[in-house]
Amino acid sequence: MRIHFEMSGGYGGLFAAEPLACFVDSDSLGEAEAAQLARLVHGGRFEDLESAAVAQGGDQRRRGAARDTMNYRLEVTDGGRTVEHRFDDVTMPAEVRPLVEQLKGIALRERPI
Amino acid sequence: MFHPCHCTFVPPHITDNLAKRAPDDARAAARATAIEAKSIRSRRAERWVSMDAMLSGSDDRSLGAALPAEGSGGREVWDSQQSWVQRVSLNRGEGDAATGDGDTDTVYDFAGDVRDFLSKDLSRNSIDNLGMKLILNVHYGVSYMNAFWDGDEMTFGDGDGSIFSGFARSLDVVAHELAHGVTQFTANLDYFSQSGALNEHFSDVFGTTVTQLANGESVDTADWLIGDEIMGPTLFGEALRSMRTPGTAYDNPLMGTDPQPAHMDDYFAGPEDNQGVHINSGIPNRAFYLAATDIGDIAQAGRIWYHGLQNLWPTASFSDAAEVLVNAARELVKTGEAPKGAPQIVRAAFRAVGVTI
Repeated sequence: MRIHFEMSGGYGGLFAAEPLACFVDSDSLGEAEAAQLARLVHGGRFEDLESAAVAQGGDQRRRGAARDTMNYRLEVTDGGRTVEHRFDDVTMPAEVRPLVEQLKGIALRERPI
Repeated sequence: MFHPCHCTFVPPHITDNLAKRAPDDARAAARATAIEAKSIRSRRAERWVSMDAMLSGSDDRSLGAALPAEGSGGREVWDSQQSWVQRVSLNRGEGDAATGDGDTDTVYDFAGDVRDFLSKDLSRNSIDNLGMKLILNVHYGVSYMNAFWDGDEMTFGDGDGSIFSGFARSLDVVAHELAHGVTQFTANLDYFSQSGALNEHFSDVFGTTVTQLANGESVDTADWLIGDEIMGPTLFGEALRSMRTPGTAYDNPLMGTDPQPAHMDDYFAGPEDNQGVHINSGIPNRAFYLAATDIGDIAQAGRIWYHGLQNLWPTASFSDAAEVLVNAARELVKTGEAPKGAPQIVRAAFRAVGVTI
């Protein structure tokens, strides 16, 4: 499984020019880490989320009126299939949040300070 | 203008004009939408109070906090308790005693400062000018490094304690987010490209205006920085934006280099950040800095900008805003609320950053 994660935006307009990002290849992880990642992906039903459902996450009016939310792009490739979703803090399905937080942590650790 | 790929029954130039000339109608519509959204959210979010209790403003002491009545402009500070849910536990209602939780009590005070500024300096009754309650969520998420406005309430993360500290502890953050609400109920600037950058710009204007007034700063002694107070120990001394010199707020390996332009020559035309709403806001931000320092009075400059905001429309461009703000200055000179020469100062400020006017 390969995951490409990007995050940008928010109050600070952070990472607009260069999104906070990470690439994760489960083949390069230890067994336990790879298993945890698979649990987060499948537990979040990420691969089954339809783009329309993600786009409509959060009530419609809040989605249109949200300002300074963080924006996320997540692309998962598994078993020859690639699925990409984009959402923000208002539209993100709750079940995807644990995966996003895990990937954000990886991306921050990889970013020099 | 002819739009070959977009046909509407009412031509866009007419709808735009309606938006320009019917702010009261737009505000009423937005208020109705906000009420509808609140009813939707009440069915979805976890609550400790019933909807009936909320609408009646009843004082349910079993919760330990009082709920302000609708239309009172009252404050509600909710604790998300490190969950990703809003309105989990009501920590403090309007008039309640301090709780001892730093974020709760600080954001309560700051929201009051902004509400007082709206009322005393701008004669505005809360966010929507109809006494909309100020609903604030603190301790949102885990190490959440952000704050946002979502159409009816504000939400603040605690930061990670290293890169960012708590977002509820900064007056300019609170004022910035609350000002997004004011914009929603006035010009309702579309959140992309130049109108979106103006949306961000007005929030920075009111953020810095409220902060300077609260701190007793002059336009010459203020630092004109946005977000400096929430930088954690790792990036202490950096800031998120500089209104005086856009593009200089930060430069470090974690955040990169501040991409804000200070002039239209360097306008960001990429798709990121909703076509640069947090990036290109640097251009009008610099114009506001130039105008405010030339006028010499942040309150007067803030009033000109507020007056202008009420006469803008969702698709306004930088040039549109410049023209409207010059006209706003002219009207406030007539009423004695702005000094003579203010229109010329505003015009010069926008020309200095390359905006056509």
